[in-house]
Amino acid sequence: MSDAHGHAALTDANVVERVLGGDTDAYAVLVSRYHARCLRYAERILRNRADAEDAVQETFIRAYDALGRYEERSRFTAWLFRILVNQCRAAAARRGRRERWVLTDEAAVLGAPAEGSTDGYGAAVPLDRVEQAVAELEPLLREAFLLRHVEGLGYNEMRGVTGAGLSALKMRVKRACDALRGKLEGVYDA
Amino acid sequence: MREEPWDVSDEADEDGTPPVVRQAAAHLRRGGASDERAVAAVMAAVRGRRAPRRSRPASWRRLTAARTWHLSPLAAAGLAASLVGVGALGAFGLRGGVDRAPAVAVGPADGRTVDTAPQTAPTGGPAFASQGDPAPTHVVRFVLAAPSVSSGSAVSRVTLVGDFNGWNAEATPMRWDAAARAWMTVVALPAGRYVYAFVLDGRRWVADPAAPLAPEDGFGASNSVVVVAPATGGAT
Repeated sequence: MSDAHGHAALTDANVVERVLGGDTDAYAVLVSRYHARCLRYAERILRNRADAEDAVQETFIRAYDALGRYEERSRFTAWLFRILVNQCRAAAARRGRRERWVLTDEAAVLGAPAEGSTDGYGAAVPLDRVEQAVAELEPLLREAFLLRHVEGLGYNEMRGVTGAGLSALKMRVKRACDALRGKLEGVYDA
Repeated sequence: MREEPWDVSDEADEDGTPPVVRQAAAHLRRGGASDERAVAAVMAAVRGRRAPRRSRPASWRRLTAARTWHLSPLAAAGLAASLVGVGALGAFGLRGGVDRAPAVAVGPADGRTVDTAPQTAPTGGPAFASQGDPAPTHVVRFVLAAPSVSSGSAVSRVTLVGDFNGWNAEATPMRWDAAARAWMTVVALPAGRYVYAFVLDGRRWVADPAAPLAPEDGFGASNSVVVVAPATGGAT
């Protein structure tokens, strides 16, 4: 089942109602809509394809189990990302190697293999400069930046997703933007 | 990492975002087509799980969530006095000034009601079987001793919720009986054990102060229990 099979017009809330009404297959619509987006977020947070896939898989399973608690007044994406962010944090904490991906030395960044970024078969894939700049951000700054500017969550949604306060989130996003501006100077010139 | 307050409105960072960062964000949003194999893997995992069900309304969860109330000593004394008053009303009777006013009256479906106090049922299933009858119903009267708006209270509407009406806060409104100074409604129920509560003004969810409480409902609060007995031998 996919959006191409007659479900494109259904809102997320409509799909949720269908699933809760017993149409388990309808859940595939939600998975199709958001799996790639969740995966790109998880991969940028965890910097490892296999770990990211595991986190996303677990996210969708937990979301399915908790679907009855989803409230239509909130965006499904924000609700889903709340689970995803927790899964990514848990995965990072379990491995205890999150800091390994925080490279602060420019020379080390340029010279190092793209650790943790694999094509799913173990082969390293070079990160482009933008990806690398994001990867260098401190984890909390990276998380806030990605949620705000890449995944498009509002600050109030981010509060629910991260558990952090509004001021802290805005500060993190601002610091991330400042850091990225410095790292990406000249990238989009010409 | 020390975090300073950032005094800007919710969306105010849009204009302050450096162009290079906006372009970078747009770059990071590209791609990401759905992976059919991954979707299939998720669906294979969820098909073996119990189907999700709609949980209770958000209002119920908000009302039953654990919370801390801060009261001044004077307010606390007033609240305690009010609760004692309500308890006394429930204990000594409301209806027509009689000396006993149970929260629930149970009787056969012909409308003849028999006063009875709510019973605590053993856990694990209905307290009474239908004894072979085709599920006869009984008129159950629910009574909540609470003052109305006209008597100076803030409560202007009370509804009954329970497992018999799907915990729908709009399905079973209660009527204010000025003579009895109580909110009342009647519901036809087959014999069995039911969990219920009252909703005040569509917001406040309260257990019946005159009925036994059910075990924790899993959301941090308790409800009340009524057991409807078969008509034979009278209501219990």
